[in-house]
Amino acid sequence: VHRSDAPGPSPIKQRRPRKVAGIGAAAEQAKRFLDLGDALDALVRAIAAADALAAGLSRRVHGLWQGDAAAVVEWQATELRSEARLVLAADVQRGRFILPAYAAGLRLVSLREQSVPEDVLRLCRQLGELERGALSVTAFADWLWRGGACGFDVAQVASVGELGRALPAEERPAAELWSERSEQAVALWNDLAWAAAQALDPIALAQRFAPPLEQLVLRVRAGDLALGMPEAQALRARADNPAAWARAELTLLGKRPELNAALPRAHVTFPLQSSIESAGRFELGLLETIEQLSGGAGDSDVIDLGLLGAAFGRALLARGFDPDELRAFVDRAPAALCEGFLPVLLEPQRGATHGRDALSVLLWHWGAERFFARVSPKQFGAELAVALFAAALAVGCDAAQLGRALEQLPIDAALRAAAAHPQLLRKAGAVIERRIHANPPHSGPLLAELAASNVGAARLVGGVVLARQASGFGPEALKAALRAVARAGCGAEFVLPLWEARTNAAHVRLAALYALESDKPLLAPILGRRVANMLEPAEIRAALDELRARVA
Amino acid sequence: VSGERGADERTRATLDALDHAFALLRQIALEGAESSGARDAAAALADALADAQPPFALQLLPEAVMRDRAPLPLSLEAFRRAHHIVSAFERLGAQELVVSYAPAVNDLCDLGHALVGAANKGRSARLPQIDGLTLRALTRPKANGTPDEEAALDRVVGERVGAVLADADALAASASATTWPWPRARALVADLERCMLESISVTGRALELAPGAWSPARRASVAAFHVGAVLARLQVSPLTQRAGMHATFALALHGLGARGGVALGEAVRAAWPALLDDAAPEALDPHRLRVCALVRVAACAAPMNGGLIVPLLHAAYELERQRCPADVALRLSRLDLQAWLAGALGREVDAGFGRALLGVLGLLPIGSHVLSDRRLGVVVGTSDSGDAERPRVLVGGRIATPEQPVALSSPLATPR
Repeated sequence: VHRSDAPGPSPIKQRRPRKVAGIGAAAEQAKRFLDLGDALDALVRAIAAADALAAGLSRRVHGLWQGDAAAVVEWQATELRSEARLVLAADVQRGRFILPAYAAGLRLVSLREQSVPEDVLRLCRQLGELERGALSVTAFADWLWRGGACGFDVAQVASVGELGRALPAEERPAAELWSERSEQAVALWNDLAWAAAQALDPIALAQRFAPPLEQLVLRVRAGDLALGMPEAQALRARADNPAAWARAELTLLGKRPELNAALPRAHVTFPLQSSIESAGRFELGLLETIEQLSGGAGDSDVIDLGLLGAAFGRALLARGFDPDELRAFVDRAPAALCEGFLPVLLEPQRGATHGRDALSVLLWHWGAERFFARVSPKQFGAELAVALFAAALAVGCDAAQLGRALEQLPIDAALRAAAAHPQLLRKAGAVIERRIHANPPHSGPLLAELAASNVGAARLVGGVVLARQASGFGPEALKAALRAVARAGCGAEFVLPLWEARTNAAHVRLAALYALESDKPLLAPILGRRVANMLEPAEIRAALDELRARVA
Repeated sequence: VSGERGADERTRATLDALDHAFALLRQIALEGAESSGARDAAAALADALADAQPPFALQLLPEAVMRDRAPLPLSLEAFRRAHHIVSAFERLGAQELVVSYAPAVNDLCDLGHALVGAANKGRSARLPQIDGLTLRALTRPKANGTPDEEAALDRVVGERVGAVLADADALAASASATTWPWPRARALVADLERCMLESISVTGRALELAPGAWSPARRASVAAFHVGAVLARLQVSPLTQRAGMHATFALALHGLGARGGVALGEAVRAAWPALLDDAAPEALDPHRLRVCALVRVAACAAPMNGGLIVPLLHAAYELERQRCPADVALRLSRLDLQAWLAGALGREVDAGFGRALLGVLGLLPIGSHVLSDRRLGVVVGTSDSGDAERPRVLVGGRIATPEQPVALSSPLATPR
């Protein structure tokens, strides 16, 4: 029964939950392998049917396969297995491509880390053609041999077509064969010796050829010709150096654009990425190569500019940059590349200093409006915010621009930036005030630092807290913030009213009371013994007694 | 056309015969060899065998079933059915069935009975003598196996190496200066690679000892082999191994002369236009890109210190340039070449890759002539002990590891 004869709906549309016996991680893995097999089979069929779902399925297969990063699929004659677990078994309807691919010599397939869904699509397209007979076993074997399965590591043996040649043509006794080989070897020696005797006299021969042989014998005995393991490993690393191959192939592609079709665009991405990251410096010249290689690609097979932008970002963080080169780079780089580049500079990892410096350069270069339009402040950490607002103020950024940026910053970064730059408060204090109002629990712990930074900040903090009658702030945060306000000399205006309002919660009044400890003239009348104090709640009375004792 | 049609009919009839053989085994297993069902199945099998036009031989292997060493196109279901038959024959120790003519129905029932018995009882079952059918064991080539398996390997690899060398000569004769025959050269490199997958040592021995002239094409093939062998031993990726072999072959074919040859840089300049010709998109692939990138890197002024694996290409190329020196009409033996290479390390060839090349076939390399117990022999492999001075030697029709260190025996000069 051929698949086309088989009854029933296509399983592409029908996905039923699979039953897998067993529990725990092993069963989970077994289920994942079966899901991978199902998806792989569905993809081959979707491609054959020119189904629009194929692209989505390729992403699913890629995701499932990548999920089991170590999954090496063993290609047997009638089924696929991984780690001895079934992935897909060929039957009347499914996995019909397995046997012909096996006949082509395919034995193991694993997905490389640097693979994309397009690679899965390409392999499955070949498998589909193989299954339909549109591609011969020999042609598929040749395609594999030429490295056509980009994104996969493949183990391949001789195809069944070559199997016949791997069998001895005739059975002969071994002794007979070795006698013949011995005679051939002696005849060869005689031929060589005779030819040599015709060409040179024995003395000349001995002078020319005997000393190297003597040296060889001595050096073999001394053991100084053997290749050690470290040497072998170094040679292997040199021979398979991905960055060096990437450079060589890219240079060739740059010089000979007609060879561009040799690699899918997606796979030009990885040599480029490798070149960018392995370059000794932030190499602007690679942009030109990227431009050359980007042209003429199909719709789905494109260079991943975002990935390359991120690689440029990492290169900059690792090795620093020349400001002029950076400016030239962002002016020339395609928008998609910049979109990958800029977020890397915001990552709070090593090289953060280079990242901050680079963003400051860009802020100067672009101006605040353009800068904040391209670089979202949402990801700024506090240190970066402080550095960038310094640059923004220096370039004369206006209040409206600063306000917009402050609105987007995480609250901690906004408050730290405000604490660091009094100018920022003067220009965009209203935004800070609004943000504290909007989020007391998160802003509370940061208010003390802000209030302590300068009198203007203390007045701003005091004003906001008073306006909210301190509601929403945690007790400790409130205590620290009010103390900082009082120390800045703003106690009478912003702290005392909180103490005096008897309707306020006890913890608010207590925080205000303790904050006023730093302002003795304000505290003295409060600590005076008054009848009204007798009406205060017990914890207030205790606090007053404690303060009296301390002051005395 | 009629010949092709005839072949198709024979193939179809052979496939039918396999199906009927499976049906016969099933009938015998279910109802016994004397049942009418079994006799009907045996009759159908006899007819199918007659239709398949004997004489022919079926090779019954786990990977495939072949008729006269050409694989039969089996569907999944046919493959599964055939696999039962292959397993049953395997239990009888037979992998080849020679059909001289269609046997009688009774004989086929006996054969089926024996096969079912073998499948159920194991190797103790005995195969009846059946007129028209001969069962044989096939010796699969195997390195370090039994003497018969090693001899089979030598024969198989020797034949394939002979074919590779013939292809190389034909390719050299037909190649033009402006176009590189990519598919043919790729097929040649793939063939050489298949030989090396069987055994690097045996391939090296076969290349060295094969009869015939040492044409530039043969030397180019040997240079490609040396590069592939070193990269395989270093466990470099297959894409790089193949590119290295292909690039070496192309450069050596363009650079080596009947005697000596031009420097590698000149060989690159000679090969480059041909390699870049015919850049039609369908002809481009990662292999070709890597070969061209490698050749381009090899165009550097000092290939001995070049990038990637260029120093290895250079060492292998220089070795073959030395084999037939330009200044004198003689040919160096493998041993003399090894002595030259050892002396050239760090001076004329890269020390690292040069050492790797020196060691790839043993420090006294396979194919070297030596004296063992005062008898002339040839090195065929490294010994299990790893003693460089006591390699495995073929002397007087016997392969053995000598008790005493061997003495070198160059046909050009014997060391004092």
